[in-house]
Amino acid sequence: MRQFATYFLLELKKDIRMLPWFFGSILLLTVLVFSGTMAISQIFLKGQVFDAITVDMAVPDHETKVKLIADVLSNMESVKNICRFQYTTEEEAHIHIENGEADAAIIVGEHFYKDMENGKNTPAIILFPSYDIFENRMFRQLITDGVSLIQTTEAAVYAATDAGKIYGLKVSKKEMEDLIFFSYIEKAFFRGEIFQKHVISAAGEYGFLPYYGVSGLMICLLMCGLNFSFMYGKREEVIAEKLRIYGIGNIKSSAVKLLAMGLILWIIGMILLCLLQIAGKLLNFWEINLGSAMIGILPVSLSISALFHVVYTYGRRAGGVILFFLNIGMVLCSGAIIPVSYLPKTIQMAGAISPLSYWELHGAQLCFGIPEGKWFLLEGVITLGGIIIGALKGCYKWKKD
Amino acid sequence: MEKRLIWIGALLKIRLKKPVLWIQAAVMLILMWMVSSTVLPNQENTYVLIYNEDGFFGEQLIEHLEQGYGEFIFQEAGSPQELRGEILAGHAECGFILEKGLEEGLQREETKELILFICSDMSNKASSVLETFYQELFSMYSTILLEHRAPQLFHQEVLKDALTFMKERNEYYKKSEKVFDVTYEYVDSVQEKQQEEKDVFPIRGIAASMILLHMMLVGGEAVSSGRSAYEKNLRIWEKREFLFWKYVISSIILAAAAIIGFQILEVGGNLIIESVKMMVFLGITSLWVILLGTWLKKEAVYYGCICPILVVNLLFPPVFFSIAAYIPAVRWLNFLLPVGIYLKIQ
Repeated sequence: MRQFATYFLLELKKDIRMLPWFFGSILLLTVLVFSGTMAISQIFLKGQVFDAITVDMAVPDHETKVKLIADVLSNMESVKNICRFQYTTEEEAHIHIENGEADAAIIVGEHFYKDMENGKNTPAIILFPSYDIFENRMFRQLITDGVSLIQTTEAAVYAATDAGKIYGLKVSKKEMEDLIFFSYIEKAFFRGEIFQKHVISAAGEYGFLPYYGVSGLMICLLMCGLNFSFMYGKREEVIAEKLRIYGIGNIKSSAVKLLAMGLILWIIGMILLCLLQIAGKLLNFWEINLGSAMIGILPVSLSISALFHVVYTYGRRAGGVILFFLNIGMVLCSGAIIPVSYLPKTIQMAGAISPLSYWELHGAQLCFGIPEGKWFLLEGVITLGGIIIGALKGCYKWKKD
Repeated sequence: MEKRLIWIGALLKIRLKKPVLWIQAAVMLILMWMVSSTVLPNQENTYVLIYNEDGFFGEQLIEHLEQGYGEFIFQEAGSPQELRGEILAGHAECGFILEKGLEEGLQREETKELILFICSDMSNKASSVLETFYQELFSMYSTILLEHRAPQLFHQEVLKDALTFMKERNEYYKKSEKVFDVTYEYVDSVQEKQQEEKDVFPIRGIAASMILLHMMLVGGEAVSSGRSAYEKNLRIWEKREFLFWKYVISSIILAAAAIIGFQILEVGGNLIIESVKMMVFLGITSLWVILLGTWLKKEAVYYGCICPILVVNLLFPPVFFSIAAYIPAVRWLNFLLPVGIYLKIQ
């Protein structure tokens, strides 16, 4: 046991001394990865926002009721999302459309409201530019939907009027019109109540920003693996041979390497979590459960180190290249850059068995939720498996000798 | 010239014998295929799914929506799970589940939360879809409202006939030109909306990044093991030129695999033009790696910088996302990056 502890401390001391050599690159990598993942998350979030178009409202000055109705409509969520109104004259509206200052215009006639009250349906004119853009088509759809609601209400009033002429009404014509008009308007006004809205997210339960924050953390930890290649040179194999004489067998040797790497990765992980917390608070993106995350990141670091240990033990000189391609593959199919639900089914299946998917899930729970025990168990199994698989190579070589 | 051809031949012979290179080419092709199969949600997606748990009323509503002439394309989903999956995957903008008891609720005019509306946090047209859906539902609901209002309007003895007549006239007026409408006019406009820099090249970007990585690793070998005996005997400019050809030839297999990949995945154009663009890229990247080797002479520092350089080349050029569309300064940075230059000449 004493020899094991001595060997472990010596290995750790040697590895920590190498840390300054690649600390600079880790820091640079951290800045780049986090900037990149935040930029990607902002791009996704920006995709949620529709590019609102400018719509000119050409309403005669005396039509105050029409302006009031337009103001009410402009505050509706569906309208606000697609367009913003500006009041102009008819001539100005034409000029704005021609020179691109406005994307559409609504032109209302001189006695529009009075005509509507008297049952005369003076159509409103909607102007569009000759070029076609998606936002204009959405605005046109919105107009069609709004007009359809008005048409449905009007049709009901006219139908009741016609029926009243033949079968006789119990109430006056005005009372009939008001009854139908107000009950329809009430239904149309409170139309949102019929829906129960449920929002689902490809980024899971924590939202896009925390999702990419955790992705950035895991990518940084994975990429740190490339700096540990110095632990597996030819000289290390010779040292391992000599250590066998002192009772440090393959399992202990494998465990020491993995634990030393894991501890260094844990230190790096804790620093990254602190940086994540600072950035999150400064930019108002998130709040991490820092204490539990810093402790919980230890088993994650150990299991990531297990992966490094196995790849370097069996990959030898090509270990760095193999690890890099493995990392890229895991990053692409585990949803670290593009959420899993956007990936094709084959890649989703590969992602389901990729350990990065579970590290990300666990990382998100550690940072923003309540971690589940099964992830700790899984990471324990991976760590133990890494020690044993790493030791097997030494056993095989020893038997061969 | 003869000397260069000998160099190229010898270097090619050495590289072709390395099995790792062929494995890297295969892995690169797999990555290119993975990337080509990924579909990001389209901002102009207009597909909407509906699943009916109610009954005949729900079926009629779906039929009306499917036959409508709006911007949104309504389709019936096979199951609620399929509906959720398609929305999450970005294939559908959003969806509706017509819950059991919809018609009953409308008949009682108790309309609170009768329809489950599912959208993703990437849906930017959710409120517009709700309006289109509701106007169709409202049109069908109108008949129920008239039935409920009729007893207040007509005497009992004529109620049934009046209601039947009223419903017929209602349907007539809904389709007629006698109700309010708008007219659409189009104005000649010379101003075109400026196309934003949102084009991305994921397949080409991944291939270029893998070639850059490979060249940097070859450069790393030169940094760690130093010059060969042959190189030491060359003059300064010959050394540089030999290194240039060494890096270019080292990536020839990957470049050829990339061009084949472009053709298979149908993103490549004319083969000769693609080959010329690739040779230009190899040349620029080779010079870039030579400069890198000149500045970073320490092995640990060189290998430590490979990852950040690769990450920069994946993030800032328009490989997966066009950051330049949101941060214009990035456009100029891309001129300094090998992958950025390659994607610029597409």
